[in-house]
Amino acid sequence: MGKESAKAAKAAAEKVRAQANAQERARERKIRLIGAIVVLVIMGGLLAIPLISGKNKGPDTSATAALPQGVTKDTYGVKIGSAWNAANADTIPTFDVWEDFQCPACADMESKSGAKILELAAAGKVRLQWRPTIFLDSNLQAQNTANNKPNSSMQATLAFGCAVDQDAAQAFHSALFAAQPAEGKGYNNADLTAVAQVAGITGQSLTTFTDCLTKKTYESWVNNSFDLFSKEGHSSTPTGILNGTELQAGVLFDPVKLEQAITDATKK
Amino acid sequence: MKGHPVIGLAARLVLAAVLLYAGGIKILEPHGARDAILAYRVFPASWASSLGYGLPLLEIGLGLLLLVGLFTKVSGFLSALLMLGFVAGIASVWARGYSIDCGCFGGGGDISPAGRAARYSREIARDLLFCGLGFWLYVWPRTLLSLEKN
Repeated sequence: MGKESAKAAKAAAEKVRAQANAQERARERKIRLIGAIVVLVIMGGLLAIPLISGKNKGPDTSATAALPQGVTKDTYGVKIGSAWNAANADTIPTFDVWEDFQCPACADMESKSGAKILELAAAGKVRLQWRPTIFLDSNLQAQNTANNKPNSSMQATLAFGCAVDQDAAQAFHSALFAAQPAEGKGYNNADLTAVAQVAGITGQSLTTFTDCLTKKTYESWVNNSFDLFSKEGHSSTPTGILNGTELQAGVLFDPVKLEQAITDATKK
Repeated sequence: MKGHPVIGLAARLVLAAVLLYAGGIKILEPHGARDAILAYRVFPASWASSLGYGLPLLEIGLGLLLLVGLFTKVSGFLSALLMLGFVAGIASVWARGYSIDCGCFGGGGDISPAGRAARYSREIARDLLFCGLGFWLYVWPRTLLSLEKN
């Protein structure tokens, strides 16, 4: 082969290589483009899921939605203590305590400050309101289900509502937190009925309680209370709100500081 | 740069699995994700909903890209950044000593300071490991079995 034809062959070979490279690059560009579009389409499709599921959890505002005795639709809270009916009730600070019955931090708070809180409520020094939430049901769903006790927060709060009807709100509340299992283990109706007995609900009361629990009489109450928990911007428990101001954990978990905060709130 | 294609593949697959799992769970419980973001109190409450919906989408998008090996360099970088963000969030909550109970860390809730410290350390160590995998892919994006030829 002559020099010139060797050069020409080389040039031709380079041209073929360049064409192959260009084709390769074009192919890679196509793969990247298609890949990106597919991923975006999948992401767009997934976007629909939260938007759709978000529509199902609305509150039940029907007039026939059952409420435990003493509970009203403004807060769906369980009011404790004599201050609510006092003549000068407006001057007594309100104290909302948001709790989830599966929450270990709530049980801890109850063991530390619970007695003091009830003492102040009984003495008429604070208008206590227990407001239940069930946000842990979704967070602990895997554990609850694994232990065959699904939706434990809902079940426990249903039981609480039934106990309120049997004039055993405080006893049941205390007994429930005292018997709280490890986080995620959950409660079933048998557990909750046992707690009711510890709380002093027996005989005919116990039958009514059990009936109320198995029928899930207060399901819409629980959902409505949970709805307010989210609407009012809370996301963790325990949350203590004294006269509209959220208390720091350092105060909420310390009975001495808590009493001081309540006293301070009363002077205003 | 020659890279280490087999390790790269492993890094891609591990990260992809983690991101797809985390994102998938959050998509199914969007309120849970939003609530958890609120609980950390790092972002303004108004951002919580958008983040709660947007974060799992980002995780799934990155997970898919890493799974098939497309845009590996960028995905690795973004994943590393995401993991650093989680580490910062956990460290922030730990430093501020919040007694939060958001069920974020699942069962066995020991909420004593020692228990929290153990959990937070585990979470941070784990996320730093994932961050490392992402960074690896950013530096050495050539991997086996990928749609990209590199």
